[in-house]
Amino acid sequence: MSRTTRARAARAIAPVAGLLAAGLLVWQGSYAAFSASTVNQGDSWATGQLALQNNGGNGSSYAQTTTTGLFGETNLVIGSSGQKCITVSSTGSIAGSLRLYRDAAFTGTNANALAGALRVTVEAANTSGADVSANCTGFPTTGVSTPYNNVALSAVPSTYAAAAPLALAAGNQKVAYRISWSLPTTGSNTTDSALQGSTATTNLNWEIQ
Amino acid sequence: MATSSAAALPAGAPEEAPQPRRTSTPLFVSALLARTWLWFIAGCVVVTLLPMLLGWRPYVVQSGSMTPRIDVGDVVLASPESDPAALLGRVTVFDDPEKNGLVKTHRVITLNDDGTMVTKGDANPTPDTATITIDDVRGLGRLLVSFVGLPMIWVQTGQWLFFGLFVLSILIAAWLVGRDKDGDEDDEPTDPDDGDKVVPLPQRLSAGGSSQIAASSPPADPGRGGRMQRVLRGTVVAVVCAFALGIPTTSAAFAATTRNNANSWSVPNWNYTTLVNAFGPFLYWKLDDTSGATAADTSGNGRTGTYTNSNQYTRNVVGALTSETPNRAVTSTSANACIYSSSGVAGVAAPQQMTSIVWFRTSSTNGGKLLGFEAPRTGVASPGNNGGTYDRHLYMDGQGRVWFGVYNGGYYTISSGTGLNNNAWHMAAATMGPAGMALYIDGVLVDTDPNTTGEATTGWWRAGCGNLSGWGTYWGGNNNPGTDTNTTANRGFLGSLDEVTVETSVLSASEIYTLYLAR
Repeated sequence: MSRTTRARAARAIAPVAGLLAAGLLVWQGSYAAFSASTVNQGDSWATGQLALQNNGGNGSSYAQTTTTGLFGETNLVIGSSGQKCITVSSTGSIAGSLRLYRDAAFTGTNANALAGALRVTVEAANTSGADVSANCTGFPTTGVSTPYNNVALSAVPSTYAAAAPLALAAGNQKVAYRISWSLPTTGSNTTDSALQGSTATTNLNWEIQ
Repeated sequence: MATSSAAALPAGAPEEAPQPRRTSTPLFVSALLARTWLWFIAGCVVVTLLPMLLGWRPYVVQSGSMTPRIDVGDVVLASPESDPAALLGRVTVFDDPEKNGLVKTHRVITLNDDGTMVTKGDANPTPDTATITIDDVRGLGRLLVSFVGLPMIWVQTGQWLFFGLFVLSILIAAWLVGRDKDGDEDDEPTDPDDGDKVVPLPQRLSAGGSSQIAASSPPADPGRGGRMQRVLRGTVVAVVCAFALGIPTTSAAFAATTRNNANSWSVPNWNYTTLVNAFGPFLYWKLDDTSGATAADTSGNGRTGTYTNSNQYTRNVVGALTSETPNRAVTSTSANACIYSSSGVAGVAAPQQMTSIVWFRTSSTNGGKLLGFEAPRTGVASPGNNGGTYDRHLYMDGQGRVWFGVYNGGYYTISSGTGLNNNAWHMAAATMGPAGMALYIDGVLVDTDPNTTGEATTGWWRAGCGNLSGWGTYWGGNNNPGTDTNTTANRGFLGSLDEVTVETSVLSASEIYTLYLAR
């Protein structure tokens, strides 16, 4: 085969090879991504770029994706207050923005009125030592930020997008949250009295993106 | 790309031409690779853009929560879809329901009964927290073109080195191809001794057979026309590439959540008696007694009271606590009426931290003592040699105003300011402690004084009567004790009394307020 023939053939081959490779890329990628066999890869996140757990106000050995009932405050009166701490652990391999928000709806009798009357302050701080538990012993004294400062419980955002951000680096990180609440007067005897018999229940969500 | 160059030479020319112009192997291979590279890129761009004719839309994936199946820089081609059921388990492109302008590419994992859909990134441990509706859906993932969006990602994320290398590779490839072609069309007198002459070839990029067509066309100005064509071609490619860079992006956002469920706060139906007893009162006379001389102490401390002359109090009148059953109170029928600490109750040191609360109802303009700390236990005595001491008291003046007075070598008084003798129930609460003195009427703070202590005496609590001699400066209206000729006058309160409470601690404003609300 002469060099000329070789060159001519090569020029004919180049488009075929190039387009074939492009097509292969599409077919291969699409097949892997969209084939029906990939439905609900619930357990396929071994690459695990982001992961969160919280200790529910208990020690680090209690860390779970879902915990229950940090706050179970009963017998509130006007002027009641309290605070509890909870530690969120991140084991993601990339940095992200960690945010605390509540569920969209409050449940319970007359819940919205009570959620509107309750005030919360949320403080957050990276902690390198042991988990900070519900009694807040060992809550960091430095590097404390205040995502929410004395806002109505109902005014705590209910979506990630609206929630106050807290930058979190990659790697194993722990963030201690101190959540203080109070029930001050609404300024109206009638409204305050109407809070009797009410309960507000919500879930607290931490999400990192 | 497949358009022909006008710079066609007769197909058979190379074979017939005697001069041995040949391409070198390295040049030949590099030109081949360069062509393949350009065709590959062109193919990717075409594959990405062609489906738009079907109404499919391409999206460049910006983040990696769908890995390992969809990587950053891939392009997802999505077709419009309006049936939620078709989306179940499928990769779906949708507007972030949190309305932050993001377009997300995640998998629909659950269809809810209310028509919303739960989505999740394959690489995320937990589903997305916000559900989507069919209105959020932009399309169902149909085709994935790997890597094609990477140049755009590089631009967006400022990875100029990668982007520069990519552009450079195109330029080099174009140059290599161009050089190869130049060799076809132009003599290369610069290296006559070099064996690596470029062999002229038909300018068809397509299969060799079509060169027959080219062969029939007359040879044109090979150099100039070819360059013009290539410039045009390059422009087209550049425009297509620029358009490709304009493909909208979608984020397959990494996310992880953790939650603490069922956090609750609840307010009970407040019960006045329960609240008071929760404070641990020193004594608590509810005055629910319907007969007998004893006023029961609900505090459990056994500090009962004694009604003077039972017939001076009407029992079982309607009290102040409308939410409680029974709701009883007593009404004095004589200015000599009084409720003393009972004889078995030991005198105590006057508290330096205290709260006293009493409910009252009257239309009298006589005034009189509502609740105070006094010695002796019964009756009244003048100060000084007779040992009479009396302060830490709530009293009403002739104008119906309520005063809280503490004696500490001087008179410290605060008052309601307005008359309360309107025949309605009112709650007077007084506190003294390190923060000073405070007077609350109906749960609302009305006056304060910085005085923090009272005279150190020993005495007993009593309600409805007592000595007020010396307190005439702090009085309005009739019956001023300053005009008392008898310093042992017993200033009885004419009216109804209820819920007499004494604490040896300072209740907070909100505690007193809640008590009022719980009435």
